[in-house]
Amino acid sequence: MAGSRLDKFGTIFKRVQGLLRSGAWSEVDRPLWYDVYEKFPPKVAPLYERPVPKDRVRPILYPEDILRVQFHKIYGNMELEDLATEDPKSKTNCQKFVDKYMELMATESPPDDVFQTAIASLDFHGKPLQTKKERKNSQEMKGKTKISALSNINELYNDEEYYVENKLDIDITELLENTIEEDDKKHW
Amino acid sequence: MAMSLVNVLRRNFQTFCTFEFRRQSSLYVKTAGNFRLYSSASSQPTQTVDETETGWDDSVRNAKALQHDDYFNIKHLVTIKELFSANVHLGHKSGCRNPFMAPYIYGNRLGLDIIDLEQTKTLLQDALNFTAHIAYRGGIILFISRNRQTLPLVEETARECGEYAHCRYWKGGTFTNVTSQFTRLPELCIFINCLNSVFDTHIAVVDSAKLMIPSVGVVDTNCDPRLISYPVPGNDDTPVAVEYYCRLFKAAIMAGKQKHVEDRHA
Repeated sequence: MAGSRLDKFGTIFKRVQGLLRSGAWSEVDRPLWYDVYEKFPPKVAPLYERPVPKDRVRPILYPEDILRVQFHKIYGNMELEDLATEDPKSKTNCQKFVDKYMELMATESPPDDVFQTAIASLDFHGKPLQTKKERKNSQEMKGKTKISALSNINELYNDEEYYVENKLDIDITELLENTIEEDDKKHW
Repeated sequence: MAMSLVNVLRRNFQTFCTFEFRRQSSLYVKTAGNFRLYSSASSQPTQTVDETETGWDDSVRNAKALQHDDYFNIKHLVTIKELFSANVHLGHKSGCRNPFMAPYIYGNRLGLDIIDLEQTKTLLQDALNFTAHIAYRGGIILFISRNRQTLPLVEETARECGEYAHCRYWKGGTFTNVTSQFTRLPELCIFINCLNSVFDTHIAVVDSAKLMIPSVGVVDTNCDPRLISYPVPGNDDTPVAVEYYCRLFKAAIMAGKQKHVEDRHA
């Protein structure tokens, strides 16, 4: 088959056109796609040699993003989404908050504290929303129980009921190993 | 260099012979069971070509079909809403961006590139129209993809519309050394995914440009759209999106073949 294999110069159409014009290919032998391409050429010619586009990609931001930032600053992101069983209509608490806020602002006489009113309308698994600080405090409390558990580890190990009731997320064997290691360190 | 109708009609017996030869050879390739290039999805063509017809009428009909803007009535198949629900707008992180994709990107949402569906819509419509015209003219269409997750889907699509697919390892020279491979080059390559298994441009993209085969391809924000004749910016990783593309390309090819049969018996 006649034709150059230099894919980086011109386009497929230009190269076939050249062959047809010069008579290297007869009109009869022109490719099946040639007429279609001529009638419906692509929007941008598929040239390899072309300047890098100077288009700058703009960031997509919305006015309500400020609300989202405020929400996340105070309440953090405590929700996990199961993408496998995602309900397209389900909304995150943050989105519910933003919707509520916008709804309140659209009313004729919005309440003085729109932010708090919007927050109050939300719940997290039936409980009121916890701020980041509150959650941290409760976690620290949990940590204290862990430490006390560590000190009374033998008692705990025997007292199965206590262990089950409090649902302490401690792997006892791991803890024992850690304490042994620490002991070793002290020893050396 | 517009081909006028008179020119088309002036063609002599040689024209007829060429067309007849082409049809025979394409028939052979379509029905031959044992050949390399299209081994993954060889099948019987759904619409058998009527051999008693001559190439004369074909060329007149083909020229006539080109007069319409949307001869196969497929442009309405693409809607922005469906593109959205198929997650076509989701691109890659901005760090993966190919600079030549920048004009097709709507913006960057928190580090993630979002593809401009307004552009995708028209480009996809053009690509589908082109595909349908190729199918109408009896051209051989080859689906190419190296995405393993969607491989069965792409091959099944090709089989369903009586065309071919190459979704496996691309042996060097499949196109460029075709004379020794006992195969025939396709008239159109449809790239459902333009990248190969190591996230580099698929060799077939370059090879089809070398061998003057037009290509239609879904280009994600990390793909190079330059050598693809009809690039369609869109997400190429999500199965939902790939299903959508496959459905549309199948519809376009079937519309082309359907019209081909209708016009012959009209």
